[in-house]
Amino acid sequence: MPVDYDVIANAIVEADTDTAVDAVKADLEILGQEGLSELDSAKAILNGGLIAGMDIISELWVQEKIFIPEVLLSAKVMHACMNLLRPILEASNEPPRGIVVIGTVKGDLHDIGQNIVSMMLRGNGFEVHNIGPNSSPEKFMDKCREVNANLVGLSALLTTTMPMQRETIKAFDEAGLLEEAAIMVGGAPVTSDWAEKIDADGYAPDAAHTVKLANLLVEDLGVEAAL
Amino acid sequence: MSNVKDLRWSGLTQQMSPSLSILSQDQKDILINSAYEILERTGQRVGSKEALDLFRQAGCRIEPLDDEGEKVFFPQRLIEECLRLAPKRLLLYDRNGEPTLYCEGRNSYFSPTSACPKMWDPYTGERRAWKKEDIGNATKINDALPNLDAMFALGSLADDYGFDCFVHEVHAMMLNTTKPIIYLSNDVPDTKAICEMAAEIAGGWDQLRERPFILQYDEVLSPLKHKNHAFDKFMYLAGEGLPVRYGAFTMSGASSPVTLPGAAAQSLAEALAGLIAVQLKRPGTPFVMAILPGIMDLKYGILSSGAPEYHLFHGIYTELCHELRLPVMATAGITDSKVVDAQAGAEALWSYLCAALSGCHLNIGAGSMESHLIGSFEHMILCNELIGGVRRFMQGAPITNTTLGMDVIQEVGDNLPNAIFIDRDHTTEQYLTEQWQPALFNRNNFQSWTEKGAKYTHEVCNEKVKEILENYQPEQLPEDVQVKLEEIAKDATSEETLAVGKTSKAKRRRKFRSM
Repeated sequence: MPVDYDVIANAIVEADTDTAVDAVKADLEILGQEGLSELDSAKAILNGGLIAGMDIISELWVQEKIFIPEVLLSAKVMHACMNLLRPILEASNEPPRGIVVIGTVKGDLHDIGQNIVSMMLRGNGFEVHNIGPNSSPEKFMDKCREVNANLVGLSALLTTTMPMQRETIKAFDEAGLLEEAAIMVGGAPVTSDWAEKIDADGYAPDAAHTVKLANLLVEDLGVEAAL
Repeated sequence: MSNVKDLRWSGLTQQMSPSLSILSQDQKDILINSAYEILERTGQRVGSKEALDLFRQAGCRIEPLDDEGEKVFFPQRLIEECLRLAPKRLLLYDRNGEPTLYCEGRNSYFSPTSACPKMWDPYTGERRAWKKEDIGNATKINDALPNLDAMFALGSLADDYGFDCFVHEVHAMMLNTTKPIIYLSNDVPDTKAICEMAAEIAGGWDQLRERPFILQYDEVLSPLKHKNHAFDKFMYLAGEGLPVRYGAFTMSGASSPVTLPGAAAQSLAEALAGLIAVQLKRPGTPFVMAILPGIMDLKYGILSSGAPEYHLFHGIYTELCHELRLPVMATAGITDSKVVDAQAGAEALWSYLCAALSGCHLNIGAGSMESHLIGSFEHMILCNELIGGVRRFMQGAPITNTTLGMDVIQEVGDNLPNAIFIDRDHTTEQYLTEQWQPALFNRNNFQSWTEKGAKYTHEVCNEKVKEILENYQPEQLPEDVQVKLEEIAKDATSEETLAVGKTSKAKRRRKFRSM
C-alpha cells in the first residue's frame, strides 16, 4: 500500500489525534520497507503530512473561516505526531524549522498574546522557548545563546512598555546577536510603523500572520547564511 | 374634571423607571458563592510584600509560587468580614469640592476610558500618536458635554513620556475640567505625585480625603494574578484614606472561562482579593468593584466590546455587586468599529442602555474605538448624544394627575370635531420636560436636511468637536495652583523610567517584513 500523506494532513485539519498518530506510525514503517532511511522517512512525513496539514489550517484561519481554538486543536495533533518524529530528527542533528525565543518585555506582565503565538508556532513545527512575561533583555539574550535561536519574539501589551522592545533590540545589537537571529515584535498596541521604527526585523498583527512571518524570516536567514 | 381619583394618594405616583434584571436570587447566590470558593480553594497570585504580610496576619494560607509572588487562599470568614467593612457607597466630588457622583443605588454615570495608543486627528483625519495638548483637548470636550460626568484621559502619552506619561495625562486633565478625574498610574511614586497635585487643588490632604475628586484605575492580571505595583499602590491609597477602584480586565475565552457565569464568578473573586487587601490595610476604605467585561473574539483574537455577550456580562457583574451592596464600575460606550459609523452607534447605544438599565454606577468608555486602540473626539460627541437619550428613557413615565392628563383629554373631547392637543395649555406647560431633544441626530425633513448640507452623523460630530475646541473655555485653576502642578508634573519620574534609556537604537540589518 503506497503512502498517502493526505490522511495525516486531513487528520490534522480534523483534529483527529488517533488517526494522525496511527498514520505516522504506519507511514514510517511503509517508507522503511520501501528502502528510505529513517531520517528521510521522517522528513517526508513532516513535510508531506504534518506541515501540509498545518498549512491548510493556517490558510483557513487567515481566510477567517475557522477560530483560534480550532487552530490550537490541530496544533495539538501536530504536536502529538511530532513526538514520534522528533527523536529521529534530533538524532540526526537535523535543525528544526526554526528555534524561537519568545516572551513579553520587561515591565509588562501580560502574557496571553505571546502564549497563543507560542502555541501556534509550536504547532507549525517551530521549536519554541517561551520565557514568559516581564523578561529583561538579558533574559532574552541568555536564552538565545543557550538554545541557539534564530528567531526572537518580543511582545508588549502596554503603550508604556513598547519602548522596552526598542531597548531589547538595542541590547541584542550591542551584544552582536542580531546577525544570527531575526527579531519579531507584536502586541495589541504595536504597529508595523513602530516595528520598523525600532528596527525590528518583522511585524505581524496577529498569531495567524506570525506563523507566516516566522517562515519568511527563516527563509531570509537561510538566504543570508548561503551568501 | 374633579380630583375624585387623586393619584397622589393611590400609590401609583412613584417613579416608574425601566430596569434590567438578569439573575434570580438563587442564581446570584450560586455565582457569589462560586467566587468565594475560588478565593478560598483556587488561590491567587500576590507579589506585594505589604499585602502578603497583611494576608498572612489575617490567617490566609500562603504557598510559594514564583520569584516574587505567592499564592494566597482566602478563608470565607475573612471574605465576609471584609465585605462588612467596605462602605456601601462612594461619593466623588468635583474639582471645586461639590458632591458630584453618587455611586449608590441604581445611579449611572459616564466618562471616557483611557490609554488608547492612537487618536483620530479631528482636523487632518490622520491616525496618529497623542500629544499632551490632545489630552487637554479631550478633557475640554468632555467638560463641555453635559452627559459625560467624569474624565479619564482617553489617550496615552507613552510615546512622548514613557513611564512618566500618567502624571502628565492627569496634569492635562486637571487643567481642563472641573469634573471628577479617573486616572492610571504606574507605581507608588506615580500615585503619590498625582495625589499631591490633587491635594494642591483641594487645598490640602485633609480636604482631599474629605472630598476626593480623583479615582485611580487598576486592573487584575487575569487569570488570578495581581501585579505587585497594583497592591502596593492600594496600600498607599488606603493608608492615605483615599478610595480604591479595582477589577478584572476580563477576556472571556482567554483570561477566564469562555462561558459567562464562570467569567463572572472569577472576575468577582479577583476584585474581591483587592477589596480584602484594602480593608485589611485600613478598614472602611471606599472600594469600587470594577470590571471590563470583555469577550475575546476567537476568530480575530481581539477584545470585543461590541459583542452581545459583553452587555450580558456587564449586567450580570453589576447585579452581583448590587447584591453585595458595593459601588460598581464597568466599561460602556466602546465600539469595535474603527470610525464613527452605524456599527459604532449601535454598539455604543446597546452598551449604554444595558449599563443604565442594570444600574452600573460608573461607566467608562466614551470615545474609545477599535477595542481600545484608538480614541476619537467624534465618538465622544456621539456617546454624549446616546447617553442623553438613554437618560430620558431611564426617567420612565411617572403617573400623576398631570401626566395622565385626564383634564386635557376631556377638554379636547368637549371641543370635537376640530380640537387637537398642540395648542392646549397642558402641552405648552409640559412638552419641554416631557420630550428630550437631540443635540446631534437630525429629525428634520429631507428638504431641510439637504439644504443644511445633507450631512452624515460623523460629519456633524466633527463639526461639534471643532466648535468646542475653538470656542469652549473650561474653568481655570488659580495661577499659583497651576504653577505648583507644573512643578510636580515636571519632577515626576517613575522607577521604570530611571531604568530605561530613551534615545539610541539598533541599526537596520535586513529587509523589514510586515504582514
